[in-house]
Amino acid sequence: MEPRVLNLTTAVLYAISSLHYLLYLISKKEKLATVGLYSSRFGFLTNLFAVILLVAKSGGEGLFTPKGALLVFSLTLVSVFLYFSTKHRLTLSGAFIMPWATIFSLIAALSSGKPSQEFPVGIIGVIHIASAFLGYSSFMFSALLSLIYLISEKHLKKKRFSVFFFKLPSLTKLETIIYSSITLGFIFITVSMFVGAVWSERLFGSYWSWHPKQVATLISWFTYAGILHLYLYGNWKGKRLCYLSILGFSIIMLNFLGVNLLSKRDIHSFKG
Amino acid sequence: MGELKLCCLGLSHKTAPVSVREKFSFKGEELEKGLLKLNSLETVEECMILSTCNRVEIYFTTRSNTPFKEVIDFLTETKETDIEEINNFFYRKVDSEAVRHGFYVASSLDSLVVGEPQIVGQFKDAFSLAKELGTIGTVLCRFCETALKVSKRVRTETGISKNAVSISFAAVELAKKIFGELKGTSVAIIGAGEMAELAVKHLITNGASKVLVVNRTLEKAKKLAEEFGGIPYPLTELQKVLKVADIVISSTGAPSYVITKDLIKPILKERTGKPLFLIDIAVPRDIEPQVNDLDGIYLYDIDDLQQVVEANIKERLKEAEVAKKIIEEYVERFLKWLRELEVAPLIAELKKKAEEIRKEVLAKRLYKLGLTPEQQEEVDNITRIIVNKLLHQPITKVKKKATEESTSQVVQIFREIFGLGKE
Repeated sequence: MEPRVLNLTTAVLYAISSLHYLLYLISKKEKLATVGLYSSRFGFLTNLFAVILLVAKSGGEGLFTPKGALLVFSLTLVSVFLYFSTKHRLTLSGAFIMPWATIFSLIAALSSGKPSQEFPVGIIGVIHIASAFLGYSSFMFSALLSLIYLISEKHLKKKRFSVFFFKLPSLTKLETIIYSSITLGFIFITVSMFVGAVWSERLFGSYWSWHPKQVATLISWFTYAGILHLYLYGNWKGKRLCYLSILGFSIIMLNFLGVNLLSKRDIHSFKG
Repeated sequence: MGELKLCCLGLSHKTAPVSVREKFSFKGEELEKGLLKLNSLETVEECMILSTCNRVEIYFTTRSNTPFKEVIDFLTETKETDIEEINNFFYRKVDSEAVRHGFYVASSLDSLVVGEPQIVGQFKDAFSLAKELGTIGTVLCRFCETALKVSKRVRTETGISKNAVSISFAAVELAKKIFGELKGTSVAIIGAGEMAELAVKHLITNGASKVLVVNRTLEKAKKLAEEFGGIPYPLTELQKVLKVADIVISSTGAPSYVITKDLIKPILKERTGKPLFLIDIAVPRDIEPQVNDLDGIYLYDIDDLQQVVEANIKERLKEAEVAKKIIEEYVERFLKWLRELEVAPLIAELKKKAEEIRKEVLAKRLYKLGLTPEQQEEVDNITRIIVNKLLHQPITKVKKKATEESTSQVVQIFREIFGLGKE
C-alpha cells in the first residue's frame, strides 16, 4: 500500500477522534468519548504502519523529511496520550491532544517525504529521532494537562461550574500525571541527547560541536532538570508546576521551531 | 363488563401536606391487611400499595366502568375520612397516565429530590409484598418489572442521580474534585454542629482516614473526638492542625473570624504546596473570605455550597427531560402489550373454533374419497394451511385495532363477526 493512503487514513481517523472528543466536552454522552478513543487507537495503528512503510521505502532517511518528522510526531503524541489515558482514565485530555495529532498528520500528508539526506541514518538515527519526539510529546502532553489543571483550579476558586468541570479529573491526579509525563519526557530527551552525541561522533567525528540544535537542546534539558528539581525539593507544586510546565514547553517550541525549521539545510531542518 | 384498565389513585408531596400524607400512609401490618382487603373487592382484579413518607399510591386493575368508586370507599372506610378529603388531595390516573406516572415514580422523576435513589428500593418492597400476598398477577407484575427496568435505564443513561443535592454531599464532591480519592486524607472539624458532623461522616465513609477535632475547650473536643475516633485539640492549637489537615470544616459560634489570612500565610510553606479545602458552614462566618486568594487554598462558605447544590438540582431537572423521553417508549410498549393481552383469549377461542370446524368437516367427508393414508395426511395438511392463512389477517388486524381503538368495542365486533360466544 502507498504510504500516502495510510497517512491520509491516519489523518481522517485522528480527525474523527478529535471531533468526538470535542463534542464530548459539551455533551454528556459517554459514547462520544468511546468513539474518540477507538478511532485514536486505529489511527495509531495506521500511523505506525505509515512510518514503518516510509522507512521500508526510503530507509531511515525518510524520517528526516517534513513528512517523516510530522508522522513521527503525531505517532509519539498519540502514544503518550494513549498510555496515560488508558492508565488513568483521562478521557477529557483527548479533546486537547487529538486536534494536534490531526494537524500534524494532515500537514504530513501534504508534505514531501523524499529524502535529501546525504548521511546514512541507520538504527541509531531512528532511535535518536524517536526518543526526541517521544520527549517532545511527553512535554507537550504535560503542558496541555497543565492547561486543564489551571482551568479546573480556576473553576474551584471562582466557584462557577460548567458541564465541562464535572468531567475534569481531580487536581491531585492531574498534578501526579503532569509530574510523571515531565519525568518521562526528561528521560527520553536525555536518551536522545546521548544517542545524538554518539551518532554525531560517527558522522562528523566529534561528540559535541556546539551546533545550535545541541545548544538549544541542552538549554531545554537544563530547564526541565530545573523544573523537576523545583517540584521535588522547592515545593513548586500545584499551579506553579503548571506554569513551569507550560514555560518548559514554550522553550521546547522555540527550540523546535527556531532551530529546526528556521535553520539552514542540515540534518535537523527536516527539509525535503 | 368493560375493558381492563390500569388505574392509580394516590397522593404525594405535590398534592398533600405531611399531615394528610401521614394519615393515609400504610405501614407494616396495616399495609398487609389493606392490600388483602383491597384485593377482595369485587371490581379490583390486581392491586398494590406504594406507601412512603412522600406518597401513598394504590395501583390496581379493574374492568369496572366506575373504576375508582370501590377503592375510594375502601379508603374512606379504613382511614375513617370522607370523600371530600379524598377528592381534595388524591389524583386519579387511568391507563397511559397511570402507567406513565408509575414509571416516573420508580425512576425518581416525581420525587421531592429528583433522582434520589431511595424510591427504587421502596418500589421494589411494595412490589415484592404484593407478590408475596398474591394480590398482583400478570398485568401489575409486568408493570412493576417494566418500571424497575426503566428506572435502571434512566439511572445509567441520564445524569439524573449524579451530582450532590445536599450541602454535606456537595462538600464531599468538591473534596473529590481536589483530592481525587479521599483515601488517606485528614479532616479537621472546628466547633460542632449537625451539618458539620454529617459532612465529616460522609468524608469518612468516602475514605478520609484521620479526624482532628478542634474545640474551644479540650473537654468538648475530647467528647466529639470519641465519636469519630479522632484526635482532640484545643482551639489554641488550631495552627498546628491547619498544618496537617487536608479538609477543614468550621462551624463554631464565634462572633468573629477564627481562621484568618494571617493565621494561614505563615504555615503555607510547611504545607509544601498541598491543597487545603476549607468549608465554612458557620453563620456568622468563621473564616476570613480573603483566605481564598491564597495559592492552593479553596474556601467555600455555606452560600457557595448552596449555589453548588442549586446548580446541581437544575442539572438534574434538565436530565429529567431526557429521562421522560426514554420512559415514553416504555409506556407505549406497555400499553400495546396490555391491549394485546385483552384480545389473547379471543384469538385462542377463534383458533379453537376453526380447528373444531376443520376436524368436524374432515371427519364427516374425508372417508368418502377413499384415499391412501399418505393422501389423507396431505389433505389434513392442506386444510390446516387454508385455515391458518384465512385466520392470519383477522388475527393481526384485531391485535392492531385493539391497541388503537376502544378494546371492548373491538372485542365485541370481533365476537359478533366470527360468531364466538359471549364472555
